[in-house]
Amino acid sequence: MLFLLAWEIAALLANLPQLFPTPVDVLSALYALLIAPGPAGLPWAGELWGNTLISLWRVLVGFAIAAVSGILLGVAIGWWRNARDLLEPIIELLRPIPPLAWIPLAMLWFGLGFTPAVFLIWLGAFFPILLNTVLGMESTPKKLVEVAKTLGASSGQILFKVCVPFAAPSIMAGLRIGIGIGWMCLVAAELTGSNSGLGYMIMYYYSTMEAAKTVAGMLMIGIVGFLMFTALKKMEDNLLFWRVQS
Amino acid sequence: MLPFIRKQAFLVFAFIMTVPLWGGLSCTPATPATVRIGYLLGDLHQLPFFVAQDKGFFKDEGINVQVAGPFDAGPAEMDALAANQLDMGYVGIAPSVLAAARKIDLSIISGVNLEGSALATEIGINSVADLKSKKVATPAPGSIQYVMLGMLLSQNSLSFSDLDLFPGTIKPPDMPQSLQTGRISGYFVWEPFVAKSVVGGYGKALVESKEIWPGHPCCVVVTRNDFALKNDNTVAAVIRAHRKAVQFITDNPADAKTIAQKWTRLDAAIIDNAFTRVKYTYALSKDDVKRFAREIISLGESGTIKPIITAGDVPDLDAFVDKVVDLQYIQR
Repeated sequence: MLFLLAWEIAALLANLPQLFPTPVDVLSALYALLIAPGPAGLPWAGELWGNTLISLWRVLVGFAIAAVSGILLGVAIGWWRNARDLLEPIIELLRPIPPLAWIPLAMLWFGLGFTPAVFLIWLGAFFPILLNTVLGMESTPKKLVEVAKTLGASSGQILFKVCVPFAAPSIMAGLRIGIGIGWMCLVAAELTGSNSGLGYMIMYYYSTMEAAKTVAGMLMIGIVGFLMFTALKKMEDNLLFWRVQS
Repeated sequence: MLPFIRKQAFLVFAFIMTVPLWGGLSCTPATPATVRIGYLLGDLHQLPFFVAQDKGFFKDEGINVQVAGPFDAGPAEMDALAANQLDMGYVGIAPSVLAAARKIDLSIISGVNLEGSALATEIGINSVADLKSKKVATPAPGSIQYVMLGMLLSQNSLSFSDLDLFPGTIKPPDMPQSLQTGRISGYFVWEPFVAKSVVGGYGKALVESKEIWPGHPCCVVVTRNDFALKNDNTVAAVIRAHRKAVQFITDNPADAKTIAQKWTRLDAAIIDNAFTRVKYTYALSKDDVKRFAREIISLGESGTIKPIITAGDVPDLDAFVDKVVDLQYIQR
């Protein structure tokens, strides 16, 4: 409440609505965006929800691909030394390249719209998931593996009943970080080569100098990001209930 | 006696020591006024700005130009102006009218060029109707090309919803390559990015902006009003340099093209082709600005484009244009 009050007073004092809208302006913009027709294909959803749904769909697809590829590859690297020796240099070479630096190539390879955005989200989410999976696998105590071996467990049993469960908390942390980075990449991806989604909506209203609607779009990004993070945290607590109990 | 001699000696010493300063004061010209001027990315319309720099017209007028930019599109430049990051700017008429309608305290004080944009398409497109459902790019929403495309669609009984439009998310310099690689079927943009596709042989100028509105205003010079109020003579000097540059382009097109080549780093053939579509002028008509504002409003009202400026933003168009367009500098 205090924050909103301080914002309102600061914006009123600045008296620059085209640059610094008040919270009341932003709320009224949110309402206008809710009742405006939605983007192509989703006119019924309204502009705000329509673009949010488009962005969410992109991020879910990109994130799902990143989760599957990151976990599989992470488990492989953590389990097989040869895989680690082979892939680690390539990963360490590609990992420092910011996903945004891939935008021109993404447009060249995949054109405009959905696919390059999904590619960028995958790039953003993939590395944290991969590295956390590898970290989780590698930190499995040797004693646990030896005990399993002594009890006659097969390699597959050791992998899926000892190492992967031990790595699960680390994998979940990677998924949480990954979805956050993926969401941020999505917004950046929609600023280039896109004509829908929350990132595009922000750019559109920035261009037409409607600062309140721009901030309303940013607010929506924050809210959705927060909800996704919270949902994943809840899912983590449920899936890893044994960790919570211990 | 001794104190008197000491005083005389001190005065002589002081005189001798300050002689160089006296000389300096009389010979060194006054510090040039610094003006922060913005411009658009690779926009050939704004050639007078580069000619004025290249030929030293700003320096001749005692102006030290701090170049700000380039900006991808006019709205971003107008934001920089509103945020006091710029004092003056070369920009399209549409974003400047839009900015004024958003209560940014600026004045449009000179013309830069007329016409000079076109709808470039792939070779196989033969009419505007052929672009239905096709991917088409423009600079940012609220740019002059965005509005002109709206006018063109309206003249063809189409609207933006008939196209798969990408406004502002493909940068103008990337548009020719996007056309060449088939990512888009057309784009409406400023020169030289139409000429690049035409000369490259993979695109054509399907409709030139002069066919939509002959002699339409395009780029203009704007200034922040608080800057102009405090620096009236400086603004006048910038516009004098700008006028000289426009005159230079008119009188010496070959030299102007060389400067354009140096600035855009494009081939002579592209610059030659682009020059056929741009008319340079410092003249500015209030009626044209009025018509432009009216076009933006009516395109929004008719649903051709999403409303950008409404009649509510500009209840009295005559008073709005009288306030925003200041012709005194081109007349001085």
